[in-house]
Amino acid sequence: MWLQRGSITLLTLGLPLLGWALAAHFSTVVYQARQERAFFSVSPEVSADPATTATGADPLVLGRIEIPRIGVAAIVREGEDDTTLAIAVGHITGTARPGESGNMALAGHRDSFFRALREIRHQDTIRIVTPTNSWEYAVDSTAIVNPEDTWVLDPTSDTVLSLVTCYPFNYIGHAPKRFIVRASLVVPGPG
Amino acid sequence: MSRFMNWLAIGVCTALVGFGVATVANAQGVGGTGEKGYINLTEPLDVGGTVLQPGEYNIIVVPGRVDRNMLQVWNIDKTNLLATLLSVPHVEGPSEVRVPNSRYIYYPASEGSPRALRTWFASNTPNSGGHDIVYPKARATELAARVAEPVVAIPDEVKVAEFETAPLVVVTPDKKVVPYKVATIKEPPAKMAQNTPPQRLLPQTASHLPLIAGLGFLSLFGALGMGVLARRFV
Repeated sequence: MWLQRGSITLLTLGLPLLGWALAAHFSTVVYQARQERAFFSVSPEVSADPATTATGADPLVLGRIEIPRIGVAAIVREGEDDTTLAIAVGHITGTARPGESGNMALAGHRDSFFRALREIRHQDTIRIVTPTNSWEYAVDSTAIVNPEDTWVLDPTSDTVLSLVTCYPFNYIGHAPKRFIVRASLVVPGPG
Repeated sequence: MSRFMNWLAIGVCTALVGFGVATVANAQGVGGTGEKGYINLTEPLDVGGTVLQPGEYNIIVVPGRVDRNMLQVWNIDKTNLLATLLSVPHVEGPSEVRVPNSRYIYYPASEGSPRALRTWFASNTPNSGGHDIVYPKARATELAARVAEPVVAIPDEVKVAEFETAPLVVVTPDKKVVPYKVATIKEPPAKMAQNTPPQRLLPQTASHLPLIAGLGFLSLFGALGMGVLARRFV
């Protein structure tokens, strides 16, 4: 009898947990697809004017990051708060924005958007794409640092891209280190 | 067996509730960052050169360069972007300390022109200062003369796409035009995007999702195992 009760208890515990996880994943997929459509569906001529933003477009979306070799493609959104990182790659506020010179830093969950960064290699191509422009970076280096090492976000004289995610990649919960990918601009956008 | 099915049904219902709650929670979180506010107008209002008719609107700050931000005015459902305008940090010098009773400060209306938004304080960030609205030069000249105070302006022909780089000027009451200097700000009151990151720690980039999913799977496998054992021992 107690086995049956235990089984039912675990069942009523496990199903909501799985339901929650599925819902969160579903929300992320829907957000990415919706913003992809809204942000990139308008023609470049039209999209240059933010007043014509498509219906449903999140005003905080900055563009898309692509790393073709390892299959990373995700919408980039302003901010690095929990909400943003749950649904997109976050642009760390205060660092350079797409098209600006200096150090642009992006943060992503190591268990979703940036999971594939474990396979990143020297000279891999990283693209930042907006409806009107595209910038191409080549990976210079990777590093494992402590969370206090905010120097990786410091402004630089060159135009560079810094990707931040947690390390180790297979850690459960908040990982003790950060994995940094540093890339340099090789193909500037037309703007 | 039918009792087990009843419990199974309850479990599935609970899972659906969890799914629904999580979906709603995630949906509410979207668009929830940064400075934002709401305004209910009972008469037309000029905001940065765009006249808004009576109604309800949302305002969102898009952090810009060091000396300016962009403000977006959306309809109440946030489905239509109605206006994009520039703002500069609101400065409160020693001789003109002004603690706003309201989140909005206006230029008065004149004959043929509605009142205009002068300064906006985001309601969700009470300590980050206000945003002085930037007006097209012609309108700024008119406002400066009316209130006998300088007004920050951009050239009349500037398009939204050029807001980030457009030169800012200050129009004085006697119609002189001088360059806008961000250095006049003693203590930047507004939250600005600056090239000096304010972080003390690099962002945490791990979600609890794998842990939650893992616990869910473990619970289900445990339930399955116990169910099998229960049937074997009955």
